Amino acid sequence: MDTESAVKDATTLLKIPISLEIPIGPQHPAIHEPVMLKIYADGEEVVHAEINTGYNHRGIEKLMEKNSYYKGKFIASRVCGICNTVHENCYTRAVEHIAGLEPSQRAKYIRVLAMELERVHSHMLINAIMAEVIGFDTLFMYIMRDRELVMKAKEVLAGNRVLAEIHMFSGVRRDIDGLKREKILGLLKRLEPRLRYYRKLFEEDSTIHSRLAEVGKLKPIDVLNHSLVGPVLRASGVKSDVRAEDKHDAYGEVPWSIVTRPEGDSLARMLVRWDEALESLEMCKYILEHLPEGPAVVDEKKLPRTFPPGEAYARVEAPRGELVYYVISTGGTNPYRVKIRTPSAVNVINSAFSYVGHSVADVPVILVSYDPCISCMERVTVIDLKGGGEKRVPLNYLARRRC
Amino acid sequence: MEVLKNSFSGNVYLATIAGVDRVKENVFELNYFVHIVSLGKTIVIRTSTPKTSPRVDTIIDIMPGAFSAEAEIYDLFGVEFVGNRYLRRGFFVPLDVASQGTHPLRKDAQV
Repeated sequence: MDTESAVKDATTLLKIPISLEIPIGPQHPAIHEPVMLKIYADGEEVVHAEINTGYNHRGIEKLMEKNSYYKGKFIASRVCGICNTVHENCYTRAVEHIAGLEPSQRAKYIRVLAMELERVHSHMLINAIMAEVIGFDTLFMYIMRDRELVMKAKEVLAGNRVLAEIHMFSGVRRDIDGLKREKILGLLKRLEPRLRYYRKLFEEDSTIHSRLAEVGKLKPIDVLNHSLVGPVLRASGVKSDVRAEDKHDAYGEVPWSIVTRPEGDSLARMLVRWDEALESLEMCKYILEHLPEGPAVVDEKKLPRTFPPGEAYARVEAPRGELVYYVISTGGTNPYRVKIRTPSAVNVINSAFSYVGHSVADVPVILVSYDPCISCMERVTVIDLKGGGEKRVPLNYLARRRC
Repeated sequence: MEVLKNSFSGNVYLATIAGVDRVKENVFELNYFVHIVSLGKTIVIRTSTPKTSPRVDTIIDIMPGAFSAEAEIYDLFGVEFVGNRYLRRGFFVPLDVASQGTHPLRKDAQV
């Protein structure tokens, strides 16, 4: 039978999907958070991506409704381990707005210092992970080693390496003296040449360049439409930074500038992070040298137990982007509603579109070798050309029919 | 929402949608926080829907960034966004909670 008559006499058409469904996560060595990326690949090219979440939902918003404002402050800083200071800052400022409290000038400077130290170590961490994912493990080790300097500085400032817990309504919980100041300055002095070296490395190294440049390119309009925030927004040339727009705490007084890059690719996002880390380092030094005199630590016994009715919307520039807290109070000891929108929530869930069109190896989380589980291959679609119906059957059913 | 987006020539993004269960008024309140980049300001658009049949038109066709917020509110409050085909239960809450038909952030939900 020749092909032409075969087409004419055909009664069924087999449509075999050529895309593979590759689930990555929720537990996977390449991704550091329990999220599931479902990648549909046609050969090497990603044709569709889906994000599945819900593996780490702890019901924190409900928990905050059930607890007092003071307990809520400590719950807020446990939302995220890496950027805990910005969470407590955002919640503290929202509650301060409701209660009409105002921190002292020195407290504002110490808050900014804690947040900027956190930004430096967070940006170093994500760059180290990027180095690991592209197979540059030595660089990962080096960056993580030097990140310890910032962690140490944070420990000197707040008493803890990770959870700073330095905020309290209308002030801070720990002050810094001359000795601590000198120690932090010494650590930052050792860190600065390392940051400059890594920044140069990311800009000039040909391996990093060939893996990151032109990968995941985002146009400014796409970034805005999909509500992506933070370094992603700024690496696409959109000049938006909460620190400059709201000028909360001491951001209006400390000299600094917004870092933007026009390219919009993965390399630009990493370089924006290095530039911001250097900018933050300068801010930390300025704060330590120009710390205003006066009280900073608040007497917690004199703080109000109940709060007046009202609502507050606070924003803060977390290392990953704009962090939002919306607190409603109807009076009393507990908040009525606390809405938290973390930058990762939008950056991860809304970014599915950005994987499409890239090769599987370009999806950064797939870069570490993975044995994909091909779950879609066992199905084909059978279309009945005469009857016009369509049904899905497993592949082994067809094998039995020998058609 | 479209007028707002066009009047700033697309230089806006949706920060989030905050759902609130207002027990006294017996409504779900939805606060749309839209950030205008060129002004550096956030504006709030507030709407509400009755608790008996919570339905609101989706804005995902105007602002695709609303996807995460709408998916969250559908899962945690049970507000249906008409026209959003991607909504499903169990997006955030575990499936054993979702299968009981519980919406955890409603004030009457027992968790």
